[in-house]
Amino acid sequence: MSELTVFLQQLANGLVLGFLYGLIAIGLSMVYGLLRMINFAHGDVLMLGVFIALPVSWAGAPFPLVLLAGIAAATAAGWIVQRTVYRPLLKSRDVTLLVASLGVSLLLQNVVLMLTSPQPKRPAPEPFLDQPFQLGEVYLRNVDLMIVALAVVFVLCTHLFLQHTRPGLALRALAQDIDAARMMGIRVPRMVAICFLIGSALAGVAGVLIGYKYGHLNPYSGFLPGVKGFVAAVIGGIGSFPGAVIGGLILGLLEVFLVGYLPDALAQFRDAYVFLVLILVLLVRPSGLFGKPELVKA
Amino acid sequence: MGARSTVPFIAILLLGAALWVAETTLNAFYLQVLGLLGINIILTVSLNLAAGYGGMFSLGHPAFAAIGGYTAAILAYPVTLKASRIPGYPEWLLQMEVPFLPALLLGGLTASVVAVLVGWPVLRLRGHYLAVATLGLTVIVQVGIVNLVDYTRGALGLSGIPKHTNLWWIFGFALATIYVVYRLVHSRFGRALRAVRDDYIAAQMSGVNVARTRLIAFTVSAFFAGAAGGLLGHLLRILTPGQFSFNAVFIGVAMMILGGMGSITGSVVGAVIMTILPQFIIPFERGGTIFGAEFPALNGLTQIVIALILILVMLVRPEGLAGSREFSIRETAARFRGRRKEHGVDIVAVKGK
Repeated sequence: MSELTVFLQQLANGLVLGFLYGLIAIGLSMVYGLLRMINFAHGDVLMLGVFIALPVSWAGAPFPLVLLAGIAAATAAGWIVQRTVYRPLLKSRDVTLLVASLGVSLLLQNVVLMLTSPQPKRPAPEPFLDQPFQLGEVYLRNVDLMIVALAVVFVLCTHLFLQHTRPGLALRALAQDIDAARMMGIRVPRMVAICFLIGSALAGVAGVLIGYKYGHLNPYSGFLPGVKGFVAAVIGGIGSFPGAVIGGLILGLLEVFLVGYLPDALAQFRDAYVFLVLILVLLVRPSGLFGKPELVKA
Repeated sequence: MGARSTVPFIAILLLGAALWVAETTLNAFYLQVLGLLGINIILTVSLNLAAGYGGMFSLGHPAFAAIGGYTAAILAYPVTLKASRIPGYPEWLLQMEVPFLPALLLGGLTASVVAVLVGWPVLRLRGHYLAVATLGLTVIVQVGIVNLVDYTRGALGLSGIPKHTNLWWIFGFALATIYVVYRLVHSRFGRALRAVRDDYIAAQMSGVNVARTRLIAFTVSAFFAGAAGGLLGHLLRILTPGQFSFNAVFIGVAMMILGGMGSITGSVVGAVIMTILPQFIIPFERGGTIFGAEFPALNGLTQIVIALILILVMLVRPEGLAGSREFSIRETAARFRGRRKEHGVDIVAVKGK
């Protein structure tokens, strides 16, 4: 394989991973933009979505149905969490919400653990998705194309929703200035709920796709992707919708290229690099690529 | 000797007597639970110094405990085993077997040094970015321990650590931690620290060196977390990366939050509850017959209970059990007297009507 082929292969792998991070980052970025809250449970909502989609897949359902089940489950989980735990805390200190989300994360992980088992699981094989796909010299599988296609479609839908509907307008107004928006008669709790619905649905999409791409799912496999999604959101500029997607792509590419081009001894520290990148971004440009600098630092 | 110094003196004597009784009568299992209890007290009080008093919501304290724990264990590891188990180190270190106390202190110091290196950039971050960045530290240390097999034995865990820790060591350190943190918090430095937490601009205007204040608190906090890690390794005789995972992050936060951020008393109470409670839940996790009833194995039940406690505390009493109050005999006595008085006042009021 020539240098160029290796580079292109890494580029393709990085983009696929980046779209997954982007899907996860959107929900985190929107929630942070609204509530100044890091939702540590976001990744676990994703995991819950997959774990409900898994039996659907084992029962022999085709991919679209499994995907729908994952989306529905994640959306429902996200909504229930925000309704029961986060909504009563909307007016409390930031750290209360943060701790509550840690609690929810721990709860979801272990409820799933109790109901299933720690053994890793995978969805029933889907021959179509596992088929190899050759693009010039670059080898992918159909599932990779599916990730890119679905991510683009869902991101576009979310974009259209935010730009061209009244709730979308309200969400953008809230992200800009929550107090002013409240005074304009926007019902904050309802908008927060919508925000969680969108974010969790996108997380559900990402979850099912992760399931088909990597297999090997256990109750803890959502947490780290969730935190990485937050890192992606920070890179892109927290609170910014395009920022979340582009931040995801950047993080995916960085991760793949670092692992691909560093010597083997250093390549093992994959997860560590993500956080080094985070610390670097926060030091050099805390508002990320597209974010507005925070005026009040709390 | 005035009342101010008599009460702590008596308390320490009582604790000493209790420890002596415990060491002579209890079996190994109970001793281990008590040991973990003391270590959890150290961890929680140290976390509270950073998060509760300093407003630095660190999710990186398990990393400091891991660094301190592994450093102490490697220093105090028997020379006869070193070369075969952890061959990665230079010859002089492999030939060295450090006594327990210096090993512990060096473990704490190493954690402090890492805290300075990490804190210098990270503590400039405000609010919740700090939480994610320090969570990153936990991940980095975890990944490091797993991959540096020649230095840590990786996921296998570093076993064969000599059992140096006993209750005297642990509770001695716990007392030292409480004393240092209490004195630190109730000093000029502590007022500055709380001022930075509450309003860093106002603190800065009043002449507080914000960055330095935060860094010092973070470093001291990391020292005790590191020492706790050292005690843990020499109590359990094994260190694994799993002991310092996300789970440790959650439980550390839960202990601090349950007791109350900004209260040492609260931290002790939180640590006691969160150490003792799981001991009653673990039998249910294993399943089988309990009190004549059949139970299936319920994996993760302990964590579910801890998570529910965490969420409930946030919903019902976000300031925790103790809030930011401290236990004091005088005030407790005064409150009892006060209640009676209130009662009396009520009766008078009713009569007057």
